[in-house]
Amino acid sequence: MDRAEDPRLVWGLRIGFALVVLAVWQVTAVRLGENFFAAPGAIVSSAVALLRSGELMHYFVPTLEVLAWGFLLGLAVGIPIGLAIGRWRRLYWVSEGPINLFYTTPLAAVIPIILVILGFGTTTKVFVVFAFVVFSVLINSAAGVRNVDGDLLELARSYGSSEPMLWREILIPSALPFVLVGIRIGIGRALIGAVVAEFYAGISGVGYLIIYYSNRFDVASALVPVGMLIALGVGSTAGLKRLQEWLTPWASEARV
Amino acid sequence: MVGVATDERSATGGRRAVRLPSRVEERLWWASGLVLVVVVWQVYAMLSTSSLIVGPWEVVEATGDLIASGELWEYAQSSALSFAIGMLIGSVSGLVIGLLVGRFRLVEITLDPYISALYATPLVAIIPVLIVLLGFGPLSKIVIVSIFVFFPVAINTAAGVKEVPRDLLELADSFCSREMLTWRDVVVPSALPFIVTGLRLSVGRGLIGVVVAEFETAVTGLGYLILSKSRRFLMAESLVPVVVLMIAGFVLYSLLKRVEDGMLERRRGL
Repeated sequence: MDRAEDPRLVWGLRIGFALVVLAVWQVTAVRLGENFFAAPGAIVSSAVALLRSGELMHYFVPTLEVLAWGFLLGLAVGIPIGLAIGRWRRLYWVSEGPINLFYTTPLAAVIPIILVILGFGTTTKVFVVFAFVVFSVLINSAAGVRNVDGDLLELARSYGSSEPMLWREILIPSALPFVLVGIRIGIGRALIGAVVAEFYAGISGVGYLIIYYSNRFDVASALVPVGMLIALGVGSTAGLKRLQEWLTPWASEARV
Repeated sequence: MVGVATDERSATGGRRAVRLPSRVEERLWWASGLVLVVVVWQVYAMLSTSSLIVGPWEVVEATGDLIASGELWEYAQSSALSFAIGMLIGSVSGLVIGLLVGRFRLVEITLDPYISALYATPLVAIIPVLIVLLGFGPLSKIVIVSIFVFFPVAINTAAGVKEVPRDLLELADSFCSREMLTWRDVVVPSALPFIVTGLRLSVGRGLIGVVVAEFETAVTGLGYLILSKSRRFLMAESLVPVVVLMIAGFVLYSLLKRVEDGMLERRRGL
């Protein structure tokens, strides 16, 4: 961390490693029979084909819509409830057990049941994404408020600060870094929820595309949407990290 | 309900005079939260006209049936086995890579961007592909769980190794400690709480891995049980494995949390 490395060495190592992995992959795939164990070359040509035909975009847009709705709903519910739970001790005590219980439940397990109840449509997918997002946002928002310096609160109160003022001047600014961490974790979970929901619910979205090509043993084509999800995951996480650094430069990146 | 009583008492004046010790009060509120979930769920199920909404009582009855028929045990065993083996492989390999990344700068430079990138991606997406490649047997489940578990363990282990106090390493160095001894006596012990954190975070991921893999392979396991029951609209029976997974996740998570807290406490005491 403290020593500045030669960027040529850094990128040489990283790119070299990637090339070695790709080379080993390509050789193994060709040896084992290419149509089954997709080689990087085959994936690239599938990607080109899927992009040309417009298929990839056709399936990708609904996924983005589901993600956006579920995610925004998760924030709209998770942040205010989380802040309230963090502020009021008894609310925190009552909700701690159920929230941990739901947070540690593998939510993916409930998807087939939600599917039966809500049907094979967009509602199910949005709900699943929402459920995946809401708890991480809620837990982190609550942790943020609970982490506020008690002395600071006492000081503010002894100077006659009202509750809204407390929120504006102290609680929200100190909770913000935590809330942002929760949002970042939430995005990762939202992607998981969207994909798993699309595996089962209906015939749209990249999740469906993955299943469709896997069932046809076309591994190369199935890996194209996977690659796209990887890009989406990495991109959104990196973007949020930037947002975090910009909005809360004072917070250190060392938690959760 | 006792909690409400306390509340009233404090509201009617005797603010400080009559009050439960705060530890007891916290416990009561905590327990009533869990009770509340069950009560709300039961009432909602009784009020709902849909036959698809079942209450906790029906789930309890269904649990009895599934235990009596031996179904639950059979499927749980198969899931647990894949989960345990996958957990073991994933955490051991995560541990090794994490130690190397944390200790050797060149390894960190090379691998870190890839590990963080894959950690940020929805790995569930590759499950159908892996099943095509590895077949419908336990092998694909084990591989999936170990991939899911690998990343949190590797990342937290690396973070733990980097947090090892410089002074300790320098001290070991200046006493001519051999690399292996330094690892055994300094690096691993101080990274241990972080490693446990990694394990704790990977429990949930591992369970997701098992269940989704079982949805896909649809041969055996709790995931298959959920899928097959819900497809026949046997909602109560399909919720039984969910509850089992919930309890398993909760117990493992809390257990590891306790181990972790104990370690940190001991460290602070030193």
